[in-house]
Amino acid sequence: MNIYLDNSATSWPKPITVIETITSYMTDFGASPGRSAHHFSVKAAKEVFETRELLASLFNTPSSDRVVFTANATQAINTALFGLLKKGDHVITSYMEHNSVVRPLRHLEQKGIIELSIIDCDKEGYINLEKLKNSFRSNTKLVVTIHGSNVTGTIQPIKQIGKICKSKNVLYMVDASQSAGIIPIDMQEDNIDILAFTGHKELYGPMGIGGLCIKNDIQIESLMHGGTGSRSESETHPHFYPDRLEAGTLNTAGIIGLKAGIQYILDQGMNNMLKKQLQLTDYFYCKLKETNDITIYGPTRNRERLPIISLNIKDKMPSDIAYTLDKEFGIMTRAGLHCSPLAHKTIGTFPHGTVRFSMSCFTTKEDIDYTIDKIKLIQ
Amino acid sequence: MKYFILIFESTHHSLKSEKLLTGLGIKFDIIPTPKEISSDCGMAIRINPALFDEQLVSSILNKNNITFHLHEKVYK
Repeated sequence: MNIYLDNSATSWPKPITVIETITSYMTDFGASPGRSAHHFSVKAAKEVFETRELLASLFNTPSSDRVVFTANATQAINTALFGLLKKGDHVITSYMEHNSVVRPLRHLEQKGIIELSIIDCDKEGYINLEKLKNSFRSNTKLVVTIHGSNVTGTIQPIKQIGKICKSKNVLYMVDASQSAGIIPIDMQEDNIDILAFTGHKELYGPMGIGGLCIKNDIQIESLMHGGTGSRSESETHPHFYPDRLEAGTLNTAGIIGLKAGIQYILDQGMNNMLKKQLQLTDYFYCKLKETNDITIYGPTRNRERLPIISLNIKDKMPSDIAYTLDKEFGIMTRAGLHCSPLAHKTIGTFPHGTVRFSMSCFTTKEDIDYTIDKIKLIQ
Repeated sequence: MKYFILIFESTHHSLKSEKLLTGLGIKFDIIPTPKEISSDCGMAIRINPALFDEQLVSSILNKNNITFHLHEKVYK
């Protein structure tokens, strides 16, 4: 028996069309996009172009040339932070962030480049908006927050945060690693200046592809300089997007797989998928609530959340629970801190963490019933 | 025969232009950027002068913030 409930680490399985389109690219026209003008290269370049158009439409990014591909969300976030922040800038972030945000910011702080404020979140993981409002300084350049928590499934009020940032004339970056593909995101409506995403989670693409969506007037300095297939006569890197932030050959197989993943979501209907997953999460939540000695973290039942349940069982270590679930019953979860020590401090589960069950559109009620049975056995 | 050649700064803009011009029903070819004209991005658009409405093309591309350079090339 294999019950995969670690979709927040990476979604599995992938839609069959994702696998088929990657195979088709590598078998039938696996050329380098935009480096030549022969028909394989043009076809590959068109696939990359159409993926940017699809992402721009999914997130309402004003212009598709501001969709920049990176290897993952971590690289996207680092690209934005190191390429944007200058000595003396002040940055505000939250206690629910993943290390992909916390570590580069702490590094910049320790190097004496930025000042950093980290805003408290409540026990359910929601940012304290009053504290956020009072944290702005004259040199505040950027606010960075996660959208959906990888620890608790809490969904931050990004629209309200975006509005506050706009009123303060400060840039707002959102880490949408967990939410992109499942919760609607509208960069213009939500006042998001920079959006970082990964392709291999709720967008159902393969690993190794992620990116940034950037509003038109933001100039991020490139960390990498090299070949772009454009302005080849110049010994310096071009300044225009997307080439500006894309040095070297792209992960075309990954991009093509991501395109198929997004297409799958659009074909199924994002709302339908969300509704189904939330019903299942709610069912899981309620069944667990009926049992004694289980603590579920994050939003209470009536609040919107990602399809994630993070829990502890009284007098048991999360790592032991996860090991038994896998070894004895084939249920794959993730125990520990989930690369988010500050989030676990927020919910009071540091340093041992929690056991996280994360669903996808392929998770069934049978999977959840089986899992609930086995959790009860472990108790 | 003389053709108009549209040169773009990035592959993205070449392909965006292709999509926009196709949407207008304009007939053209995608060609490797002629090296005597430019070493900009590898792809250019070639249009038969008889089918080229400069005002229409400029207006749709400008509206989408795409900069391009217009050249002529004679093919023997």
